[in-house]
Amino acid sequence: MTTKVIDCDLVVLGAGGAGLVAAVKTADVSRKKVIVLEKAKKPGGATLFAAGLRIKDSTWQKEAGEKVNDPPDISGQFFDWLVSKGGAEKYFYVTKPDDPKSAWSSIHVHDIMDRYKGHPQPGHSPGWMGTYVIDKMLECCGKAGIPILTETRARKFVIDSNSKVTGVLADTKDGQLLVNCKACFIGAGGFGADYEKCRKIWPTEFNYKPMLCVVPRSITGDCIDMAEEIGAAIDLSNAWFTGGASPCHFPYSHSVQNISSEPDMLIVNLNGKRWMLTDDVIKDIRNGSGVNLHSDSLANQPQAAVYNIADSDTVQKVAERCIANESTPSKLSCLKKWREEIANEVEMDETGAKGNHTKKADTLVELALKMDIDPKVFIETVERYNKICENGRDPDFGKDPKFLVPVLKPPFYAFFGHRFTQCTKGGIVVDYDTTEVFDKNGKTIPGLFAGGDGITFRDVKRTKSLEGLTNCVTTGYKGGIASAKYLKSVS
Amino acid sequence: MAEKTSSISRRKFIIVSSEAIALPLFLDLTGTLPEARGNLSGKIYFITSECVGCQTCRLFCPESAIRFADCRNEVMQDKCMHCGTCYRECPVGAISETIV
Repeated sequence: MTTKVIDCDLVVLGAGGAGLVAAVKTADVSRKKVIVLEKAKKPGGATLFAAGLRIKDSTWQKEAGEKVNDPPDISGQFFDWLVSKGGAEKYFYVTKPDDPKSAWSSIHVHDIMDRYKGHPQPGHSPGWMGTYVIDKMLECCGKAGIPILTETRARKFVIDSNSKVTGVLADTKDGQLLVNCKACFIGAGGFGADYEKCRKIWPTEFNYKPMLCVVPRSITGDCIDMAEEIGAAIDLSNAWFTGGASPCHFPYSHSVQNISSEPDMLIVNLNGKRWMLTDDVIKDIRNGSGVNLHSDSLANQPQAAVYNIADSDTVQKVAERCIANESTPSKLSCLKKWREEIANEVEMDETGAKGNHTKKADTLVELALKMDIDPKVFIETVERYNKICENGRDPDFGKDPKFLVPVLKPPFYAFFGHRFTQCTKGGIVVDYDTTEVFDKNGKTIPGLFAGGDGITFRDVKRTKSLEGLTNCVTTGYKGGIASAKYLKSVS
Repeated sequence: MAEKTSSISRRKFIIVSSEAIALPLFLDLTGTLPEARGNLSGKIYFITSECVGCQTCRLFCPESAIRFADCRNEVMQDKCMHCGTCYRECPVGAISETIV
């Protein structure tokens, strides 16, 4: 096997949000030579699918008339930097913080980006804030001459006698690649696509029952193992994963997914029975934030899947409510097509297409047969539920009376739903301010930085600000500044 | 795979040719998937298990040849025009391109 050797100052592992931001920021600050290695065929990773960015104290918000603190939070600094890259103004809109006292605002791309207009499922697609960040960073990489080597999978760190990282060994399509470097930034993400790794940490949820993986398959946490090999501290005790279980999350058209996720539905398992929901779920339903079934509760059900049952009145009512609550134009136009989208799915189901598409029937018996549920059991459940709705109180499972809607008027609908997983969060222990990686003795490993999903902050507990895209880009940003500083000190 | 013997589409070929010439060539053509379907690019596209179900390919497909099935997207081979748009647009590189 041939080994190609290249030299650079900083090697970045992973061309996702954190990696690209770190690469561009380092090159911005220090004019050092940066190379990005990406395992997948295309850059972007899980960040492509991130919707909103939560920021605080940016100049941009100040100009929009919001009260901001000085000096700005790191997320605000990042955002100002992003805006300074140009072409941003027409894109962003701010959503008000959930808590009026909090200074965190969510920044979204105003509507799905022009390129992705007309997407059948605009809520869970590329084209939002994450894609914007990736596109912008790729543009900056092009301008700054930062090469992104795709289909190049980092395998091993090369370290010297002082355990300082001096290179990265990677596998490419046609051989090996040795990248000699002075510093390394790990932006390789979590391990959401590695089922066995997830199972080790969350055995209750990852119990071999169907679970849809909706992150790119390259997100397997390789770099966490690589870092562990050279003595980095790994902390997965507080790791968490996003996703869980929401009926009809991905496999459906936008309107069907939204409608079927509303709490008005009667939720039954594949045996046609209701079951005890955990407190979390009941709280979610009470808050009216939609049925977001916690996987703990669902994991023990047959196939860990559900049917959301509703009659035609409920479907109409829920659809109208969804439309009234939606403000994003592209999502709204999808929602308005709910009649044809449901009809389309029913047609697919009736023509025998693979997958559990929406089922529609004029009688409950027929619906039960379509769902492959014992009609006797199903009718018993529905009758009991209708009685509960009549009384306005749910002694069985404590469902909020607001959402106790009987199943009466045919045709009846059954929306299939199952679990999905997205990203994981947690891994390499890093410093909050500099993203330097710690070894098992609590000392920093010189020249090694990490950001993105595959990290755990030392001494900083999980907060809202450290989640999702915000965590990803801010750690990349901090890592970029810190690695530029480090490179300056060693050269 | 058999070499490309003709760029004539199958239907046209059957109409314009006499049976005596058609038979040997027709047998040859039936073995070649792209020729029989008017596939001039000589490539076929499949969605692999790397698909994350984002449906971006469905948005870009000019022939609406991609449908959602079994939680994943699927190229309907009878509608596919082998243009490679989905292959280029897939954000995670989950579509395989095979040269036949």
